[in-house]
Amino acid sequence: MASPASSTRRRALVLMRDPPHAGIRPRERLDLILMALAFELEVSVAFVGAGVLQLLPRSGPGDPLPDSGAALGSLELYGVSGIYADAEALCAYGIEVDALRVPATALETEELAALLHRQDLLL
Amino acid sequence: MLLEYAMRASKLAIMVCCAPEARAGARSALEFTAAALARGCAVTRVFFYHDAVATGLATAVVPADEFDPRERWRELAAATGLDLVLCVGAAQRRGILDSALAADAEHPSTLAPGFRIAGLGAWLDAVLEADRVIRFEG
Repeated sequence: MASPASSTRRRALVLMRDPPHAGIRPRERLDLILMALAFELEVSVAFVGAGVLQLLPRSGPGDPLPDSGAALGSLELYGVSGIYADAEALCAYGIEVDALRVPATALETEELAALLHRQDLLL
Repeated sequence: MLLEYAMRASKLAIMVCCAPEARAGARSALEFTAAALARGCAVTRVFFYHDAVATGLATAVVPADEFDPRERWRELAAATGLDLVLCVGAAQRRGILDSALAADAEHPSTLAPGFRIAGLGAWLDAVLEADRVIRFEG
């Protein structure tokens, strides 16, 4: 919901491009999202390339790091204004939007490009 | 080409994400920053995140014939007053501790001279002050 004050906030997009098994990196990107929100930026998050795999429910053991899925699921609650997924990557991995554990809007490549152009900051 | 693009801005915030042993990325970040400063660009801060925080690890030993990003960054900072900051969360996980963190953890400090440790807020401050953000993923 856009309030009059929010229209003057700087728009920032955080790109999530690492697969969930990329060690601590996805979690550290999550920290960046939370910090950008703390700075009262209007934050959107886009999962691109192998990053879309972060949106799948965790399958199987093996990863010793705590699952960051709960935090991903709460992004909207934290005040993230949009969550987007790269439609081409979803298609390449054979993932249906319904299967995602976070409600993300799938964007085609041109739409992603337009999203990037609308930002003041890419983090 | 990246330099030409960046030079359209007067103030840059630079994030380095690639590990120091990822030679090409680590070298690009350093040489880009040196070139931007030489051309009169201001750099609000260089922020090392993810595996790049190991750039500031004092106890890493680099063979004498190899590119040493830690030493090169330290020289550049000494010459230009550049603010080199390691992300605190990423640094702690990787055993890079300044004297305060080291005291808490009851370990010796492992932070190399020329670097300091701060939170992600220091990165956001640098971003908001800058005209352009350049990130080296490596």
